[in-house]
Amino acid sequence: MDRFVIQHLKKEIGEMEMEEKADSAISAGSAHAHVPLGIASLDRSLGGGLKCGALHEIHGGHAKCGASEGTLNGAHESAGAASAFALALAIRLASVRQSYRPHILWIQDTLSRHEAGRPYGPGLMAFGIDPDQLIFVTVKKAVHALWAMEEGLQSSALVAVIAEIWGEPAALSMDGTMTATRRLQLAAVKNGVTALLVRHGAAPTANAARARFRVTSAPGPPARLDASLPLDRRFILGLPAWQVALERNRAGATGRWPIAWSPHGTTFTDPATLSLGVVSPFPDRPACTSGTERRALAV
Amino acid sequence: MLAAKEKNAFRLTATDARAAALKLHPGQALADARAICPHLDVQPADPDADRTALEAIADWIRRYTPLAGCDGADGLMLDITGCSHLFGGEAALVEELRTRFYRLGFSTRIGIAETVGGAWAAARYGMTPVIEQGMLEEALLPLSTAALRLEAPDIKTLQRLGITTVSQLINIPRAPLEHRFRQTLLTRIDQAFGRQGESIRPRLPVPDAIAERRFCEPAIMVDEILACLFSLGIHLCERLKERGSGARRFDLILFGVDGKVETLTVGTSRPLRDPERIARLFSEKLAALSEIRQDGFDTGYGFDLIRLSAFVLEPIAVRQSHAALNDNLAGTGDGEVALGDLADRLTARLGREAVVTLVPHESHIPERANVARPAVTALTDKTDWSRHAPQDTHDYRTPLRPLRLFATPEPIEALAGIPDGPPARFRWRKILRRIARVEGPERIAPEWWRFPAPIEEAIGQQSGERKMQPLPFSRDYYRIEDEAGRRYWVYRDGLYARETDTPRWYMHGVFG
Repeated sequence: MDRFVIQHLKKEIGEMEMEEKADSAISAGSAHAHVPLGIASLDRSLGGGLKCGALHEIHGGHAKCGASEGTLNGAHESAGAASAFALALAIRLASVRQSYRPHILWIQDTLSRHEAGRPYGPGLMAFGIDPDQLIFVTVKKAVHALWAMEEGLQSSALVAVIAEIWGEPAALSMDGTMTATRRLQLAAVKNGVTALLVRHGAAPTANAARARFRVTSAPGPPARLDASLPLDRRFILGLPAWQVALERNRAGATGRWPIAWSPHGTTFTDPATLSLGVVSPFPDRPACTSGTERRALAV
Repeated sequence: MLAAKEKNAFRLTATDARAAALKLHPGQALADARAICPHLDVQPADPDADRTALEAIADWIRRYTPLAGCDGADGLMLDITGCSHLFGGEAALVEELRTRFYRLGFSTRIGIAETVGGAWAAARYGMTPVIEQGMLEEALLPLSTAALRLEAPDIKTLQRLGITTVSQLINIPRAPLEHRFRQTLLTRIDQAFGRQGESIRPRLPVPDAIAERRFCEPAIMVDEILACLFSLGIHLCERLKERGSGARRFDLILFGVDGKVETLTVGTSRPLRDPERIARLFSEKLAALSEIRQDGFDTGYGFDLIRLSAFVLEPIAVRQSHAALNDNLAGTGDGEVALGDLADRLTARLGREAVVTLVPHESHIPERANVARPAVTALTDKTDWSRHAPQDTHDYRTPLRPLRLFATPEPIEALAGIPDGPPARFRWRKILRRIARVEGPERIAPEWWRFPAPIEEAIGQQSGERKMQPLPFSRDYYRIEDEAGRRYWVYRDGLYARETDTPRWYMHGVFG
């Protein structure tokens, strides 16, 4: 009888240990794994998805060579799109991690905050993340943003750090060297926290980032335009969508993708797959699927 | 000597020893004083500067005891219960204070007694500074009645009655005194003789635990200070451990040899009892200070006393390792601890207002629906945002609220087909945007209950110039997408024809 009890307990302990091992393996493995973004061809280019524990750069607007003056003037045009895409990436990373509720640090310099607006709680919730999971930092200078970013990258409580930097501060270029971004990349690799550097109105320069995305707004995917619904349920604007160009990629090919973000499923989708076919034009009948032929009878 | 305008005449407010020798005294008219001595050196009195100086000294004098406060306009009061032996006894303490103040350029009168009133009398009217334990009555009796901190009219009245010393006063039966004078007179007598308790009101809150170190050679290097801070942290944390608690606020007070006092404060998001973390927070704070002051943190002539104090003690639960593991799996525990640490460090360097979390607020006015709270205080608060959660899966629609909101809505020039319809195109930040798709309107009425009703306005006009804040207009919000796919949240301020004939348009936020 006693032997049975002891055996049973041993088995239980063994199971608990296995679970613990598996859990730590997941967290250690996922730290540097790739998180698939949900768009097959983009994931392939990135080598399986967005690399965790690395520095990625996100630029807004259209690339303009040289004249930084010109890029700055149009920076606020695309600031919303670039930061939203960065946030969507961070939410995607957070949603993949199941073991606990990870947090995201969002750093802004005062210019970004003033020119492009401050994060808005209800909007964040509607975008797919509980504002509880975010800590916001406002800094006056880019030096402080970089410092705060590095601090965040060392914290085990975070899944990602987003930093928005306006223009081309000297702190980032450091006389043409890559010291600043290399520090970030090293800190990110060491602790497995992903760094997302959002640059508003900056010309692309050589740096240590694993990938550079360029994000521009794109007309949303077609949304439900259903005359039979009451007015306030007739949706005209679709999901948030962008035109994302992967301009620099250490893992593979570059390219351009139209991308939509689904706040509910916290996943990216190809806007083309979101065509009207998914939603029934007749609310009381199922959508017409392939294979079943619709028949009509008129008398 | 100092003079100020008082009762429509320039009067002396303070005199030095040489002026006193000429029988000049405070309260005397300046003209009279000039008549006695034509070449007086008179400076205008500046009570505000005096106050500031006194408060600075009160801060500095906390090196002897944290229980120190200002007393009137020209005195300081310290509770030295149980700490005079640290300075070699009371007589030695008096001597040290006297020399230190002399070096700082002040002449002082010092008194020590077993009551606040006794010490006050000893300092201002006493023969010897220290009144030994049990000698209080003997020492006070021969003094003038003014030594009891009586009010000026009371002293005058007593003088008219021929009562000038304390011994005369306390021999009078209490009942007639109470009848003739206010209660304060009896209170003052009782306080001086210790029949009624009196406490010192410290100028700054008294810490719950302190650790300090004195230096023979003042510490000048920042590294020295940090090293000392760490060892103080160990002592302090031991004390906190005895009480089973941690602190939410730490003060590092640096007492300069030149009388300068530097106070650095760090707050923490949860009770803390870890010397390394405390040291790290303060080194961030010092780094932030040296950035502000450009040429580095100025240690001046050095600091000869460094004190670390802990405030706001809260219990720390000692968790067993297994419990900690469970917490980890449940999503609390280490992650939360690491998050608190991060918030504390960022706050120590960047300031309380720079590191925030968003807290929902019960309001349907968009800009009032969320509030930014310092992360150090609000990190542990539970919030409920579920009201704003995205809708069901098959809504392929844009979020109802923008990701980013402008601090103040920016005016735009909008052109609408009909006055109460959606805009067809608009100009924002000098660029004309053509609108491709529109969703709306979503009407948001003002919160009328926060503004006075119009009926009160009439009453307000009668009663005076109390300016009423007018009720804001209702807003019609539109989610719009321009030709390039950018999405904006704009509103028309005011309902056409009902509230205003010329409604204005504003840009309130941008969608992702």
